[in-house]
Amino acid sequence: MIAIKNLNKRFGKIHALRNLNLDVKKGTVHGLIGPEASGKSTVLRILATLMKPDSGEVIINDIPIKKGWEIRKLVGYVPKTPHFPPDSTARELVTLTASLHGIRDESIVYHIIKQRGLESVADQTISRYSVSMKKNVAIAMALVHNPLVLLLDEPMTGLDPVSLKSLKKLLSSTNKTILITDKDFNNLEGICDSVTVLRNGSTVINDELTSIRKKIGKIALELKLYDVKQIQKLIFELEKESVNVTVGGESVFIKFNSESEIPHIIRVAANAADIKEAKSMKITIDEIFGTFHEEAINEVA
Amino acid sequence: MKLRDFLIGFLFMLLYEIKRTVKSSIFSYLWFFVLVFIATYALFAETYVLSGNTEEPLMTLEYGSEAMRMIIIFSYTFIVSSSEAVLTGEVTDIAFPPEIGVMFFIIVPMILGLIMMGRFIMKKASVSIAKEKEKKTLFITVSSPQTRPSIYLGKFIAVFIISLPMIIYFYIITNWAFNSIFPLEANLSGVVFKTAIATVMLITSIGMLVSVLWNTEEKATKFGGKIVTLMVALTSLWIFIPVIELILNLTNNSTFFLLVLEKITYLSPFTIDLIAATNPGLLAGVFNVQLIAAIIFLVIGIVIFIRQDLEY
Repeated sequence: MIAIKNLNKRFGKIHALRNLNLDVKKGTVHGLIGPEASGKSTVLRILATLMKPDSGEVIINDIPIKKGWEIRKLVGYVPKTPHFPPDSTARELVTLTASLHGIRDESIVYHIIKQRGLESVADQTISRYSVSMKKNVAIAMALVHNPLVLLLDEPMTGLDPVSLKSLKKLLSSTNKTILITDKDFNNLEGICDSVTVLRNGSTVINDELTSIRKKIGKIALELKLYDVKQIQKLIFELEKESVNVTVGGESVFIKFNSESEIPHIIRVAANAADIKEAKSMKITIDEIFGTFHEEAINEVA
Repeated sequence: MKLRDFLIGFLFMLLYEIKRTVKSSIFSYLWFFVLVFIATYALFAETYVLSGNTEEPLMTLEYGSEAMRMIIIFSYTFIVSSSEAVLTGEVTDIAFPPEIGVMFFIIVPMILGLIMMGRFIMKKASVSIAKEKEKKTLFITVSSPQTRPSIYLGKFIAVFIISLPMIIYFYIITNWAFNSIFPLEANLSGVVFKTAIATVMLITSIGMLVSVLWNTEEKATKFGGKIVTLMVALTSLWIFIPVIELILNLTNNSTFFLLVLEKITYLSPFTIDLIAATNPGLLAGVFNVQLIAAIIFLVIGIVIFIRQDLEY
């Protein structure tokens, strides 16, 4: 659905994207992960035809990006920090976007405004809106023409818990092709089918989320002890079992390759120390990024 | 999406642009309406009669504004011809020929109206894209199926449309002045209407080009303002060339200097408008020149806008 080959983009001396390759299958949610200035937003802006690449090939639904008019019909774009004319209202903006896409059915506008929880404020000026409400307006504008492809630049940043839950539900239930970026990697857990980790405009890893999880260790366990002094003994015993153990604050984190290992490891841990609390944790994309980022750095070194 | 949907989308965008621009224009309209009215009404204070104080001119001037030339020659001739009566203690009433009244109109309400419109349009046009780039609100239209040229044209047309109340008011005022005070068959209202339209189109296209070149509202407004100031300065210079000529005639003969000075002042569209007003036969040519210049600036602006990367 989205195919990017050898994409390059420079801003003066800064090389924002270096030979970027990316494939997003139809109907999947693909996450773009990376630190600030890693090129995530630039990729989305190029796909939304707001920027032109210096070189490389970009195709969406078999249409080359050069055909901007046709591309924009397929795409819904949510910028990282949406800005609106302060004297406009949500209804005006969503109606305008719908009209620009040739939609004149007011019930569609009404439905999308309601879906994003904006019906009570739809006729108030944007200057009165919170960050979360503005984000919801941008999401409503991106969704109003029912696009095949959604480009979401950190859509969850600044959203209130209710809107966040509703957006996650929408993203996990839709059959649209979605490219989503987020700095808070936990936000993408459970939403993305595949991810691309970017660093300085280059791909560090590009894979299915499930296979990345396998490479790192699917499940992690957080153990809290009554006596912190027992941590060294616990680590010693666990390392005998060949599992990945790390310490963070007063907690010990254990990563597994298979869920079947858990009961045995808990027994070993219980024999080695007095466990106050044992919590099963999913590995976050944050950790995925950390691992592959380090790998890439080691490879470069 | 069909062409029909695209055009309807374009109309919606245009209406949205007009609505946003008109909101901030109410005070400019009021100022324009009041000042142009006062400037025109001031002409009613004088008497204009067909046979009034017409004497053979005692001097000739060749360069610069015909309006100013006629006024200087008339005033000079009147002063000289009435000096004998004044010395004997009589106060001669001054009654202007209507042609001089028309020149008064050209120099005061017309130039004032055109400059006010020019400033207003330049301000609106120069911020139309620059402000959106600064506030990052361009993504609303730029990420829609509308193309960059259609967005640019939409903004251009919106600015042009909001100037129409001023142009129409200007036309009505001109018509009123010519029908009420000048006993002439010629009525300049048509000329004023056409020159105003051509000038507004030209200044809008220059303003849009400024807007696409700058990334902040403040810088674009300042630069646009400087362009209008330069235009006004050139036209003022053109109006006063006969005065300079008069002074130079007393000292030396600087034909070449005056010729070059006059050509430079043609760079201002206001000068061109005044030339068309004093010589309505030149109107078609003047209108075409301004229209071609407007199209050239418009195309340059669109090309730059298409090639620009937008953050949002």
